[in-house]
Formats: sequence, structure tokens, C-alpha cells
Amino acid sequence: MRWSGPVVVAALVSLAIVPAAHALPAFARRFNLACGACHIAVPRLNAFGEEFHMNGFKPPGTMWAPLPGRWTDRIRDTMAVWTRGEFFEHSDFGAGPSPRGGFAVPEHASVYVAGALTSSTSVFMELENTVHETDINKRGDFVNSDTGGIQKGFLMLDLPMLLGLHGGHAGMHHDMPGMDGGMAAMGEGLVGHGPMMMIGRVDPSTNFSYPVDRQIFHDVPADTSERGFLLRLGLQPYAFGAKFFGIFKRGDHTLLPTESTLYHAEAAPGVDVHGRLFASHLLYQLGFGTDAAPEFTDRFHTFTPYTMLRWDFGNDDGLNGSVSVLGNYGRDAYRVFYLAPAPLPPIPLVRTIAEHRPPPPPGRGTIDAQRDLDVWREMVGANLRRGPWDLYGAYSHDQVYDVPDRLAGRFVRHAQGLTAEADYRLTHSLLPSIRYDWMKAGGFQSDVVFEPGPRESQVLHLQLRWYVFEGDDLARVPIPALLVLSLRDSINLTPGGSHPFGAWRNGVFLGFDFAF
Amino acid sequence: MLVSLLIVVLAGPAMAADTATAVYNHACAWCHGKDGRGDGPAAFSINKYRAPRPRDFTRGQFKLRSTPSGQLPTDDDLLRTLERGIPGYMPSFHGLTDGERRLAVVAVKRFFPGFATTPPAPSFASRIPPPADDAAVARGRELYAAAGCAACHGERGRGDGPSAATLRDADGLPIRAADLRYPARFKGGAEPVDLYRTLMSGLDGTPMPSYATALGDDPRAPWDLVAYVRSLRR
Repeated sequence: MRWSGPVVVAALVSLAIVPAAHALPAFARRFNLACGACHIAVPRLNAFGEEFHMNGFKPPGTMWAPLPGRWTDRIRDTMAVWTRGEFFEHSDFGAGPSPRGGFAVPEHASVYVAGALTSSTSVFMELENTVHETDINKRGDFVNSDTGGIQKGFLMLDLPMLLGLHGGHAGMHHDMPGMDGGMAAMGEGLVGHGPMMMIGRVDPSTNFSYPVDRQIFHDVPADTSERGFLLRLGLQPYAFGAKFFGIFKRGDHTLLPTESTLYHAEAAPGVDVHGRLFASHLLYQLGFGTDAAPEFTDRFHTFTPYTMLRWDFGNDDGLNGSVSVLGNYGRDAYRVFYLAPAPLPPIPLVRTIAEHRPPPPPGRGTIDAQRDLDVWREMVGANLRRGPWDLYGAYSHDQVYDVPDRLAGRFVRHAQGLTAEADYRLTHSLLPSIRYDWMKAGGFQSDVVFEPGPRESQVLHLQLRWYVFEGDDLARVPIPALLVLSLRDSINLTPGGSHPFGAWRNGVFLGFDFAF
Repeated sequence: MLVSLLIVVLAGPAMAADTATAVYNHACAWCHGKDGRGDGPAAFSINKYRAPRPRDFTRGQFKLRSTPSGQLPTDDDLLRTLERGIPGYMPSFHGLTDGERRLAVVAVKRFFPGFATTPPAPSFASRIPPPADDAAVARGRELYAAAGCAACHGERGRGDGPSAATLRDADGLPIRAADLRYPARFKGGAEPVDLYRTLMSGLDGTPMPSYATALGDDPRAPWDLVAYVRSLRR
């Protein structure tokens, strides 16, 4: 959907004139903090922000952060509006259409409510509208569509607090009556946290070393031609993509190789349990999602359990980081459609003789068939931060099971993905970034949907983000909020042909984040 | 989950002996660092290239005090900062229990030996402000000009005085003069007693000096200035 430039400008202006007496977004507004208190660079969290998130949207170490007394304050201090995406694109294609560009509506707009309900429960609810999603219609053409509704919505429970298992600190109860103690102190130096449980539509990826839900680079959706061809796959972190050609989610919705899935699905009904041990150095996480089709009953069919461990190191000298490992199994997570031999026709017999089977008639033909596939993903990620530097990356290897024998030789069961990124805070408001993506995709090597072409791709992204204001400059900005502008160039390092991995050459994007 | 629950339950009796450090590590060390040097894992992102950065407790230099310039803060000063936070930069830790906040203060004071040798005494705390009327505001306006406040805070209190662009803190980082139109962002608080305390004690480590002697012997003078500053808010 392409709109004219003036419309976008008008939309931005209309957002900017929303009156807001306390106009920092949600948490910042409630806790009277600038964005930098919790973010390295919005939306990436710093260590304090990660702990704030883990703690059920309360400052680290704090069990009690009661909601404001008045309901109007509760709404103001827990609700925020966020819109982000690319509003201008210029792309070059090696085959097919000539270079094209234009203004577009931003891809994402969301309203969310979040905060602590009690000392042991918190809530997060996000309503999101996303435009320019890509799917296959009944004719087999790629089409763009809009989606909306509840993106995330979950309760977070502090289990030890809820079950009364927090002992607090030794000496607290004896020396200082009335202290509840909000932390799990377990022996000298062994301080932990949680376990916390999230129930609902959950996105667990915030805890991974490369939290894919907090990217500096916006996801750029796939591009389709007017004739229903896929010109370019989405520009998303390849390590977290589905990585297989020709697979579908249950409910017959296509799953493109670059789309996030499993643990890194944007949100899916499920349960997540996470906590910290060993002086908060070890973060453990386990749970399951049901990343399936919109049909509700399918939720019970697809089951994607996962386990993640993260080790944090180096808290003292400004150099710090983490290493994560993830194992994720998806039972019946994907579906393939193929042609299978037609079943034998019923042959009427005078007498039923179990031992007797007539030979199959020659050339009986084929029928459309489908098979659900299991998938196993193993993944490692790392993050290293020092001063203005923020380096992070992830590598994943996926393998699918239960591939029909009929597809032997045509369907590759293994796939790999790599994403590495470096951000450098050049000044208080400028953030240059570079990201590299590599994917060796599996799945159908040639079929009627995806034409033959490279199944391996490399993309280099360069970006400069300008944090015009991020809630810390009341004097200059009468409506305190967040505004970030970005200029990005994505370069295809493996161009060639008309395949969606190779058809495009270069893409320049202007994007923005706006929140209040 | 069950394993961690078991660990919590079974290890309960063997709690950490140093509970003050445990509270500090859990609530403060993210920004101030485990050694109190202001270099925790989240420190850099809190104003990367300009003041204020997380406090380095080992230097013994504190902005928010009720004591004369150059002296250490009292326990109540530290508790007040913990409870209120610093608008824009440090969250309020009123979600900690009162006992936990006191333990955090104990831990903070350990980082600078001076707390053990020279206990600070408050000088500018618990004053009762006189009523502020139009005359007090007028006198305060004159004091504002005479004391040179406009050099940094600007003629109309917008933080845009001629020196504002060149201000640096003790670390050499650029620092903004407060925009007096927005009292909710005052680091030391916006009530009359808070402004009085800031005026008299100064903000050590920043270009904001103490006006304890510069305003003369008239005890009304600082309160007049407080009345004028409060009249600037939008």
C-alpha cells in the first residue's frame, strides 16, 4: 500500500499534536526517567532495562511498585502509543520492474498497556496493526495484506512472591521487623531472581543475547509485484528466520524463509518461565509456544517447547556481555503440500479374501497431499558491550523431520542462518549500525511457487539513526516523547536472476520511530 | 522451575551474611557498579556523552545534600534520593522496603571511608519556608539578577543563559543548566525546602555553586529567591 508523501507528513503532524502533560512513553512516564535509563538505544535494553523487564516492569530489586491511585493516572502511566516503520523506499531490481520508490505508511502501529498489578503479578497488553504482510492467496499468488489485533498479551507472575517462598535476606526479619525482602539471596554471593512465569500471548525472545524483538534495524517486509510474484524476501535477521522454502504454517498460511518463527515468533500463546541464578549471572528460561495458524483449535496441535540458558559476564569495568544457547523443538510446526500417488481404487470382489490384492492399475495419477513437519532448532547467541560499542550476533541450525519420502531429493532438511550486528553510539543522538545476514536455506529447491535460484544469501545493512529526542529534553521539546529517524541502505551481496533472494540489488529506506 | 524453587527453599537458611551488599547488588549495581565506581553494565547508556552519569561513590562527592558544599551527605539525604529518585536519570526506589533502602545506604557509604571518620551533620534541612507573596517574588527577581543566576539559567529561567552552552561537570562532560520552568525535572526536588537546600548546599561536582554566603546575612534572601524560581514554572 503506497500513500503519498503529504499524507505521511500529515499523519506525523497529527501524532505530534496529541496533548500530553506527562508525555514520556509509559514506563518512562511512570517512573519519571528518560529513555536512556533502560535503553542502550531504543529499543535495545541495557542491563538495567533487562532487569526491569524481568522484574515484571518494576525497577530491579523492587517488589512493590504500586500503581498510581487514580484511574486516570493509571491509564496515563501505563499506556503508550508506538508507531514505527519505513516511510520511504527506493529499491533497485536486477530483473522485473525498473527501480522504484515511494512513500508508504509505516508498517507497525501499536498501543500497549503494561505495569505491575500487585507485588507478584504484572500485565502486558499490546494491540498492533501491521500492514504489508505477505501471504499466498487461493490462486497461489503472493499478495500483501494487513493484520491487526492483540499482538502480545500476558500475565507475568513472580512465583516465589505468589507462593510465599521468598525468604528475603538473613537478618532482615530479625534486625528490621516489617521488611519483606524482595530478593532471593541464597548463600554468600548466590543471589537469584524469580522464577517468573509469563502466561498468554508471549514473546520470550527478550531474554536471548540477541533479542530479536528489540532490533535497531526495522524489519522490511517482502515485496511483491502486481502480478503476484515475490520480488524480494523480507529483510529480517536471517538467524531467526524459518529458513525453508515452500513451507506453511498450519492453516495454510505461507511461512517465508526470512519470517521469524518458533521461539522468535513475534508472539504466540504459551507459557514461559525464566529466572536468574548464581549472583544473577545465569539466566534460565524454559517454556512452550503454539506458533500456529489463527484457528484456535490448531493451538493444541502445534507444540514448540524450548530451553534457553544465558550467561552474563563482566559487570565491573564497563565491559560486559552475555552468551546464550537455545534448543527449540516444534512439533507439527510446519506443513508442506506435495503431490502423492493417488490411492488405489476400490475393487469389488465377490468374496473377501484378505490375502489377495490386485496389482495397482498403471498410471493412476497423483493427488494433492499434505504433511506436518517437526523441526529442531539449535542456536547460539552472544552480546558484548563496552562504552559506545554494542556487538551482538546469533547463529542457528534448523532441521526438519517427517519429510515425505515422495520429496526425497527435492527437499533439503537442513538450514543455517547467521546474523551479526555492531552499533556504535557516535554522539548523544547519532547511532551508526552495520548488520550482516547470511542464510543457507533448506526446503524445496525447485517448485512451482519459488523458481530455481540461489538458496544461499548474504545481505549487508548500513544504517544511521538520529535520536531527535528521547524523553530527556523537556526544554527543547514541548511534547516529551520519542522520535527517531533512520537512513538505511541494504545491499544484496548475492544478486542474480529473478529469484527472491537475488532479484533485488539495493534498497534505501527512510524510517522512523515515534512514541508517546 | 522446580529446581530453582527447590534451591530457593533449601538455601533459605544459608542466606548471605552481607545483606547490605546483596540489596546494593540487586538494586544499585546495574548503574553504579559493584565497586561503586559508577561503571555498572547499564552506566554508559545513561547519558552517554553528557552529565549526569551514575555517581562514582568512591570519590565522596555527592550532589544532593543538606550539608555545606564539599561535605558528605547525611543518611537522610541518601535515603531521600533513593526514595525520590532523580527525575530523568534514576528511578525512585520507593518500591523497596524502608529497611532495604537503609541497607542500600549502608552499602553506599562503605565505598568512601570518609563516611566512617567524619559523620556529616545537616545544615540546611527541615527549615520552615516563610509565606511567599508578590513582594518576595519581586525581591527574588532582583536577587536572581544580582547573584548571576541568569548567566546559566537565562533571563527568563529557560536554561539558556550565555554560559549555558559551555557548562561542564567535574568529569568534563557537558551539563545543562536547569530549565526553571519545569520544576518536575529538578534533581533535588521542587518544593520550597528542596529549592532552599539546593541553593544553600549547591550541587557538588556541577557548576551550580552554594549560595550559602553569597546571598548575604538576610535570612529571607534565599527564600525570596526560592519564591521567584517557583514563580517561573509553567
